Amino acid sequence: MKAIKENKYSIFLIIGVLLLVSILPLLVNLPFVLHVLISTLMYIGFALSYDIVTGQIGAVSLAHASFFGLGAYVTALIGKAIGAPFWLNIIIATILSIGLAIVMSLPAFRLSDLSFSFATLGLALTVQLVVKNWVKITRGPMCIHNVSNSSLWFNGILEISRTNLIAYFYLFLMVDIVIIILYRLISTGRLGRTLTAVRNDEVLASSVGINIQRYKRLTFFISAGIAGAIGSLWAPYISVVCPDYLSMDYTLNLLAIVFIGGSGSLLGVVGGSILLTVWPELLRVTPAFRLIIYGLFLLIFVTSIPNGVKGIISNVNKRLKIN
Amino acid sequence: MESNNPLLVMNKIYSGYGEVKVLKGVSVDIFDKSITCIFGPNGAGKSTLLKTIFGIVPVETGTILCNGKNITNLNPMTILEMGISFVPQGRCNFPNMTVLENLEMGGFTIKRGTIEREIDDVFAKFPILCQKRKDLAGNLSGGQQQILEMAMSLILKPKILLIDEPTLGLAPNLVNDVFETIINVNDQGTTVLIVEQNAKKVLEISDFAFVLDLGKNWMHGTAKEISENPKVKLHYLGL
Amino acid sequence: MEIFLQYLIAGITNGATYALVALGLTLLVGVARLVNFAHGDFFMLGGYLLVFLFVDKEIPYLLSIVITLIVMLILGLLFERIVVHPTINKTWREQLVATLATSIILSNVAILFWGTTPRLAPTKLSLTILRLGPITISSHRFVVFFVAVISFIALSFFTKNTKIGKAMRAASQNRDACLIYGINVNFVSLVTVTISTMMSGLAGVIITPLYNVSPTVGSVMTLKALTSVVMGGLGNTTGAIISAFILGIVEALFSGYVSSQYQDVASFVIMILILVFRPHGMFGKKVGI
Ligand SMILES: Nc1ncnc2c1ncn2[C@@H]1O[C@H](COP(=O)(O)OP(=O)(O)OP(=O)(O)O)[C@@H](O)[C@H]1O
Ligand SMILES: [Mg+2]
Repeated sequence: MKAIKENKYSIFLIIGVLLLVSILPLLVNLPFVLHVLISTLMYIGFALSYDIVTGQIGAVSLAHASFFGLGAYVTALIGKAIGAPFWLNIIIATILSIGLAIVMSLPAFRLSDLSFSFATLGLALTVQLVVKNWVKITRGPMCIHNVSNSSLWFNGILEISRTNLIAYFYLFLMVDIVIIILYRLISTGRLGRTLTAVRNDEVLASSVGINIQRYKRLTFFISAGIAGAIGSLWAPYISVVCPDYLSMDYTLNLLAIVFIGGSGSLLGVVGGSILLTVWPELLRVTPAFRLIIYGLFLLIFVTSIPNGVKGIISNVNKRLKIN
Repeated sequence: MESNNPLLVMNKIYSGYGEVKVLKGVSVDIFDKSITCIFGPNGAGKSTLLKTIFGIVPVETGTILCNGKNITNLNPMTILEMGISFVPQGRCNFPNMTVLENLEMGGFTIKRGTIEREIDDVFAKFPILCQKRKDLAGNLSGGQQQILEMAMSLILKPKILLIDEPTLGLAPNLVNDVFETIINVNDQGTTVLIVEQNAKKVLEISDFAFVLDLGKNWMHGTAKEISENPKVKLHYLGL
Repeated sequence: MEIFLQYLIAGITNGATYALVALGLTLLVGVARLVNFAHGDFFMLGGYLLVFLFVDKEIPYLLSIVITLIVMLILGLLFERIVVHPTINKTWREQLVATLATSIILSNVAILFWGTTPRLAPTKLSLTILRLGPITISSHRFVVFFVAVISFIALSFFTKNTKIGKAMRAASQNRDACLIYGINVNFVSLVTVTISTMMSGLAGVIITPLYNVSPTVGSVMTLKALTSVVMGGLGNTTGAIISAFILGIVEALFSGYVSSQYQDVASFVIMILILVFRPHGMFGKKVGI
């Protein structure tokens, strides 16, 4: 749609800005500043992975935190058991998240619109309940502490430790660039063009032989896989993994970022992530307070912007229009 | 029947649905206590014309006067209070409520206490409704539902009744019932503006007729003039 | 057999609570065509208000209930004006986001006020255990059942015998027609949302002497209410009540015989099965309340 075309050059802009940001740690090497930067980078990737579903297939999934949480738990558990290198963690987390997405898609993609959202909410709560109650494995509400550090190879060789925040920073930066390119490919590549056709006219798209369901599911799986990978990176960084990771709270963060920033727009989502991550980290507000503010933002946006979410999207795009 | 000052005047009305412009300069005069019919091809804007009068579709330019008062772009609630009621195309009752309850809803804006009397009046006029007062509206036949809807609109004792295609989808014998009802309503002093596909039948009961095409006036005159017009005969009366 | 009866009684009372919540939601779905993701959060607030007034402030139980209901009424009015009214003519997506945002605001406000520790509001009645032969049952369960049934009767009377109640039914059966007859849909929607909110809050008030309330209970309750509403057929009040009882009983049996920790999963599975296989409900089609 229009939203996507308008940002033809946004990818270069964003990657350029990220590269500029990449010299920041060399200038200010304060742990707190680095933490804010790393959190923001994490949310950029996480929100982009979410928007692959919301922006591209127009479905509002409420289960996205499940994949993130699964990735985090898998990594924490592998770390406790054998201590695999980070790339192996990522691969396993991604595969398992896609597996979970496949299971979820079986009922969810037989539904549309609001029913889809409801089903994904039910599935997300189910997964969270399992993690909370499977105490033998997950330690339930007691959380898994001291998740082992990532290392680039087995047994702590080339370790990216928590004391070395700069390494984490560059790791997330690289991952974000990969996700941005993926997002771009999905929105403008073959898959993206197909999905655009589907969004514009589902009947027409199916009449020219596009298997809509297959494309939608594929998008959902990719999105879930990325979220799992991010969870896998986040767990060793934050060092503790709790059932909260799978809660609606995370999904709501994303919903706020995506809808306020502008669903379907690379610049909008990245901008939304920065806007909604930096200030709560700087002000060190409690998660509850942060969510209340997000809720109010969302409410104000949805109820007072004339054309609702769509209007916001085009407004934001107009405002951020570069070409 | 005819007087020099029309009760309702639409003057060069342009209206439509946002980007979709439908009426393009339509003018219609309706005289007190008359039956005026409107017909024309599908999509000509007949329903839009009624909705425009009732304030559901906004007027872009032009004025609508009722009794000399400007009622352009007033909201439906105010139009209703001015004495104009509307029976739209398609089902317009509450299917899981009884006939009696439906009539009460028709008289929603009437103050408590007088509504019972109005409903009794309606039952006197439409014995079939009295007989079926405890039945669910959705269980009535199509013709009975159409009559119920007219009755619901008449509860407020409107000066003008706007009716859109009341016979759509009805069996031929029921069509006559509906037309008879309209004649009775008019005899009681209500001015009627009716949109109808069945030009032959509606011309028989009307005093005046307007033919619309592509959102514009195509022809108008007394029902007699129109029914004798060769073009109308060719296109609408199948003669 | 005794144990079965015991579970059954628990299921019926839980079902009565679900029915109250579901009835509120089905009114809203029927009249305002709005699926409210924050509906269960009013249940949660009802529970917390009871804990706050009755346990923390030691206000008598009945007075606590009355105060809670008044607060729910005010919240309902605010919710209609701030959230429902501005989104009533928008798409499901805006309504989803708006009510979800409300849900997150309410549950996190509860966290700010009351923390995350689950709370209970035991009353003299809830602590009085009756023994009927081998079955033991808290006497408060009768209160729950009684209040629920009284509420159903009151609501039914209201929608059948008052002008505004009839207008609620009218609006749920044919919203467009209301415009034609000058029925003030705005006002009808305000009344409906307020009643709906109060019913959800009332359910929270009457069940908190028996079960813990926590900030996250809201979304779980929303899902259960929605399951009942979909099972019953959107906007079908009787269907929603029956479905809520079925859900309560199935859950209680599942919890008793299979696993109490995964009790909620049972209802989510039912919800997904219903959505996929019976999207128009179990009882055939019927329009409006
Ligand atoms: N709600 C609407 N939004 C947009 N366009 C509309 C709407 N309703 C009608 N139209 C368009 O306006 C035009 C006139 O419609 P209208 O219903 O007034 O025609 P009509 O003369 O009553 O036709 P019919 O005999 O089929 O009832 C049509 O082209 C129709 O597609
Ligand atoms: Mg028409």
